[in-house]
Amino acid sequence: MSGTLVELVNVGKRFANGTLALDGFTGTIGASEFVALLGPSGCGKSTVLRLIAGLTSPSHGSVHRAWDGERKAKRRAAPPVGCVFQEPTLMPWASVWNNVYLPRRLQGMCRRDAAGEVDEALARVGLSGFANAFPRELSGGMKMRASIARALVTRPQLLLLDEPFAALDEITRSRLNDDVLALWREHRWSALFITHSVFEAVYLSTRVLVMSPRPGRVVDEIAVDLAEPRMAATRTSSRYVELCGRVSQALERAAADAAEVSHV
Amino acid sequence: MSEDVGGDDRRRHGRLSAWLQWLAPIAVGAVLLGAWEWLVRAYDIPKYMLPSPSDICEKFSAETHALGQAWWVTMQTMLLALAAAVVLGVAAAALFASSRLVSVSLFPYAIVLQVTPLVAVAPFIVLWIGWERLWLTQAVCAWIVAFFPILSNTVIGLDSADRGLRDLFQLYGATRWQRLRWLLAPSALPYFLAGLRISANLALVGAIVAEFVIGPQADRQGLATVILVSQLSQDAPMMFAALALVSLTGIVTYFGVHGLSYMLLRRWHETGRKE
Ligand SMILES: Nc1ncnc2c1ncn2[C@@H]1O[C@H](COP(=O)(O)OP(=O)(O)OP(=O)(O)O)[C@@H](O)[C@H]1O
Ligand SMILES: [Mg+2]
Repeated sequence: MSGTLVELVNVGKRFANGTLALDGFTGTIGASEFVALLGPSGCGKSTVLRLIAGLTSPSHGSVHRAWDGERKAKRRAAPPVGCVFQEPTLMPWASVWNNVYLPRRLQGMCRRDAAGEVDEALARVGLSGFANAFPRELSGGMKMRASIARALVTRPQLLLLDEPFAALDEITRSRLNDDVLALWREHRWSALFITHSVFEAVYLSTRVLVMSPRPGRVVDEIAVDLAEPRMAATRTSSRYVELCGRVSQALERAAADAAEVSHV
Repeated sequence: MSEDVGGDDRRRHGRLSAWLQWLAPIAVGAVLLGAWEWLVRAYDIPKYMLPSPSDICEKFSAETHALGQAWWVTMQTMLLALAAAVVLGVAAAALFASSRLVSVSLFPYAIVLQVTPLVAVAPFIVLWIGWERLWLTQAVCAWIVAFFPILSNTVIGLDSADRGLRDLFQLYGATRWQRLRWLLAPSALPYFLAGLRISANLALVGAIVAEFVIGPQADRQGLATVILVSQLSQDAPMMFAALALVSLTGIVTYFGVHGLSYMLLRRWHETGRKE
């Protein structure tokens, strides 16, 4: 691994209402890695993402980001992070183009200067023909694409994706998975992909982090050494099936351990 | 052809209901006016008790100039008050949104402004502002009633911005001003417009009530003065003509604001959705 982009060391997070979401979470994301974060619902996955994005701060432990130093030196520098949330979170009053332009607009870049990047990001997700459409005129999958385009427009080093396709049907979902992989192969940003689907985690990632039920921490780490490029045939390969089995077992073990602890 | 029937049918149905939207209230009005006219004639009701619609129309054409002038005076008061309500209401709401402390410490006093009976305080406002500037007094009175719906709606609107979008703006390091301009203001727009719809007619009512309370003046005679004078001189048709003008103004204002919100929101907000 050439460099570590993000490192969480022994992170704990307790919310104001007393909920302990994370306890002793340790994990890293290296350059050009595609890390899948897998865990049961409510185990603190989104909290990990928010911590990395700087939207909330840890109660214990520390979060190191490779770009923290640079950002302090240059206050309005672009954070080299793109975020795709569970919902598309598009501004309903703005066209697709303006939605994708938003990150650049907030950095003070004028329309003309940003136009090239915005058009390129839209083209990458196949939405060039919908630049002037409004979010409500798009299907669920297209909204998600617009959301990905917005995350890519600043050319981030790290892309954070929080169960981006959970609400979509199976066919759209696997097509968008392939799209994300194609983009990743081309640009090699790092990615943290949150999901609760074992199959999705293994198919996409180079490494799977398996989390325990709440309070969440990493209980297992499984390297995914599937052949590149991954495609439909990958899903039927024996290695894929084997890895899915191992990840599933890790997940079940974590759930069983947690149940035991709570019984004692 | 047969495949198209469903869509065509629906379209025709949509157009019909759009027509109905205009025709139905006009038809209701025509029926009511006709019944009124008939009642007055059939029972020979004297003019001073209830003038017939035709009497009122006659008065309208005889007194077009006087009525028009009075209407314009009232409109000036109303528009001034409404403009002040919009500017100050939005500014106060933005201030409230910028600081929780400001918001909790000032909001109760905005409510005081809303529930204070205009009739009670108007004479004092005259004293404070001075007899030389009665037009300003009237506008201030009308402003008092028009201010609150805009303030409270805009405050709710600014608070309604989506959580995910707030996170997004924070992630990209948006400044306060950027957040207000690109996130909070558009989120608040539908709420503000709903407030404006209420305030516009409250400003009209406020302008008339203020003139009533302050009393007729020599130089600036609005619709309230016309109503007062016609009551004193028992000119019932004139009074009804003035009332009709108030009603028409209210209806036009309401649909004017309605049209404005439709234009601003139709591309993205649920209220602008046609089907
Ligand atoms: N702002 C908050 N205040 C209090 N508790 C919170 C807050 N945000 C999250 N939690 C709690 O922390 C725990 C972890 O939440 P989180 O959203 O990180 O889970 P998750 O793994 O992303 O779940 P899901 O898979 O359902 O999205 C949950 O029990 C949740 O109720
Ligand atoms: Mg979540």
